[in-house]
Amino acid sequence: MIEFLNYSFRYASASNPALENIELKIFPGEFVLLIGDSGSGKTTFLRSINGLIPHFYGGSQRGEVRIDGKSVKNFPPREIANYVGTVFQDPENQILMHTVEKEIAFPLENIGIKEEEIEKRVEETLDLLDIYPLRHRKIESLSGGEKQKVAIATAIARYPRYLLLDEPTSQIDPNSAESLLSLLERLNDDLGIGIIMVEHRMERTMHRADRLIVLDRGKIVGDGEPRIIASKLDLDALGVGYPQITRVAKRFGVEMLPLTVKEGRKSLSRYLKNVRVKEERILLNDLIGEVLNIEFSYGAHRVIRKLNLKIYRNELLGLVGRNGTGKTTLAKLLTGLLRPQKGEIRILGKPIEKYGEKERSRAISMVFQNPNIHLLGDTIYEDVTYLLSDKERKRAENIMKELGIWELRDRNASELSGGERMLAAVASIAVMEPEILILDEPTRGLSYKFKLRLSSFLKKYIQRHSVILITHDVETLARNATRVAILSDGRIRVIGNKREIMCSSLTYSTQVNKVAQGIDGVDKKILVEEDLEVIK
Amino acid sequence: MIFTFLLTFIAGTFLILLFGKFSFFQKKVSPITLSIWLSAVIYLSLLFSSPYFLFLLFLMLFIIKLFVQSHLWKTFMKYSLYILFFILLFNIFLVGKGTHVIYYNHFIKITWESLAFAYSMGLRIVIIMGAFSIYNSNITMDELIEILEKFRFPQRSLITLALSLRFFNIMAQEASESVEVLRLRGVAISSGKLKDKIRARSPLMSALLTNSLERSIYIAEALEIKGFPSKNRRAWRRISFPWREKLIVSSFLLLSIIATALVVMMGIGNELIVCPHIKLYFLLTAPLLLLILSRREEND
Repeated sequence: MIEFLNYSFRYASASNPALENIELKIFPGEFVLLIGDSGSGKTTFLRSINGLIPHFYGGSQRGEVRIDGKSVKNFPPREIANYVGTVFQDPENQILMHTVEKEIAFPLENIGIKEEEIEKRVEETLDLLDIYPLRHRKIESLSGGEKQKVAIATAIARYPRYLLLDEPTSQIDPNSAESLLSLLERLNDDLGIGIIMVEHRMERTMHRADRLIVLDRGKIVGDGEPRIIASKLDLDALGVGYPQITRVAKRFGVEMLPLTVKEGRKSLSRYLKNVRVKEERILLNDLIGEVLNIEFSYGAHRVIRKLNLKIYRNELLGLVGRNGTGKTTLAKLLTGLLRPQKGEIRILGKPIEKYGEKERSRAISMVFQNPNIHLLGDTIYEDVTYLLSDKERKRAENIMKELGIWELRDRNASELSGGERMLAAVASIAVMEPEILILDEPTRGLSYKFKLRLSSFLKKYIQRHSVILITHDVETLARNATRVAILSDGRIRVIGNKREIMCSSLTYSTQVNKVAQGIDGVDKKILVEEDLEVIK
Repeated sequence: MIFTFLLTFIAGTFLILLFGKFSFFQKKVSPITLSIWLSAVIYLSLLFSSPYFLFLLFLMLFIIKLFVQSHLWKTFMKYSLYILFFILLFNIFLVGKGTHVIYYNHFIKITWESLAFAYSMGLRIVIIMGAFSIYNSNITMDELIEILEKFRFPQRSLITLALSLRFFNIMAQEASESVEVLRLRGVAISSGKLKDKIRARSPLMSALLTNSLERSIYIAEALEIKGFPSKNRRAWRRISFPWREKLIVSSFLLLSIIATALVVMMGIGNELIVCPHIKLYFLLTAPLLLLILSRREEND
């Protein structure tokens, strides 16, 4: 059992406690979902269990944390690792060896167990996680999802009783995330490994958890069965959000909140029959970008094949497709970072290669998946205003205010959360007001609060310009897109109005749309709660 | 006798191939064998001075490459060609020692000896780079660390080495993406004078440093929860070193000893002065082969 006994912790450099008066017990075999806004103390909570606090991070501590009756402060993380395995957010930074089997063996080597035992455990772990084919693979050849599975394998190879996971799906695509979460569920069900997971993807995790713990500014504000906590607390106001289906049900005042689409079909049918989609008028006639029959290959590997695309002012074009279908390559071609081997790209009527660097950055620019590479200055303000004139600095201030990062302007990027960094990266590019702004997976790892801020910003941005949003996040897409294009095998397979493409799609529809599709007499064009208009 | 010796060496190398990943057994050659083979090739290339001997060593590499995959080969050979060219020019025109003069004026003296010396020096570099390209493509970093662990290198240094090599690629990728970000922000990265280019890239340094520092904290966290450092650490060595490979390795070592004896006691393989017998067409063979190799399309 993990016990927090009136536990408080404050980091040495901080003025406020990161955790305050925490009093709870977590029993073996529980699946606990830990949620809270950025800075609420989730990571500190996990560090207090795995011993990184107080052994790695200094600060002042009151009360104590015990694992199976032993106080964490009395034994170091390397010994606690026998009871508790930890998986961090970014798989890239936690894998230390060069091949999969060696990585799994590394913590076992450090315990000093016999080679035959290491061999046995590596073998078993690979089988258990169903990753045996990866055994001899080099780490650099793995996808993000595979790397995260290897990180989990490394954590459970020591047979821990608890597994701590800090946003394990935030850096991976939805399919890999789903597969990873199913794996965790299996570890919990079959082996009784206790799971304590911090996660933002509520629609994928809430129904899997036995228990939901909600943190707010270092204090526990909710602890119990997820459905009960979801009905008691306003999770949207706390910045963490609900699964979409639960939010819609809450809006209708449903008592027994659904957590899955299946539950939603039962509880929402009579409510959804009384609503319809608000009328919307979309007029796109100002062509500002044109892609004409382009082709591109990396060596012998052809990535883009005879691709054509038109981009209009005032639209948000969603670009979706499987991993490796060429979405980021297309974005780099559009921005002139790569040059097509065949065909032409025209922005505002001028071929992209004819632009000078500065002029091009005002015509089209993009925000990469990794916000860190955008943040080059000592402070966020420096990052955003880099190379800007005094006149343009006022614009920077407005954009930072719109994105809610103005208060953070004097901080260094390393002091910010992942979500705050992404918003700063968006500001650093948007401040140049490119006619076409491309965002590559901006919502990956973002909490509900940050997603809403970004959505609101993008809605304003397309009033004057246009945006291309590369994403797997169907809810954000449904909330913001004008048109959606599906890219597959280097070609745009389908493109059209978001409702034509997303409604009734097996892959790209939202939870509420999936519910609507299964009920007779319900408007099948519903995608998000903002669409709804009561008719009776 | 000389040729018998070299042919034996080549035959020994073929044995590796027989037991290597293209053998009937489809079994990967042991990293220990591969490491000793690399050491033997480097040693012999430094031991011999005769262009004929070095050319045969080079030929041996060429034959091996026909059977072994190496994704680095093309790149290494391309750079070797440039290096070979500069070494030849540098030595031919600047060494100027020897008595068999090919060309002479007040400023330059080109001799057959300087030609042979330049040729030998160039071939040495090519052989060493070629051997490393085969070695690096067929050994993983974990295997290399295991070998070093077996030879009792300090654990901390080895883990530091492994981490540095693992994260170097990630940092290089980040650096390249940061350059792209600067371009997206309208910075003319590739135009202007060298001074301007350096100034344009200056913001990268602090960003890369900050990211590396942040990453080092994550790595330290990961090391801590994975129980490193540990007094009880026991390395899991999966490297096998079967008897048949021990035999091959013994033959390498024996041949290296014999070669040393021949060079030291009889001067065989060390004759730098090969003129006036050395032929121009012979001298051209290696660069031509190299040119072909560097252009050969890699499928692996």
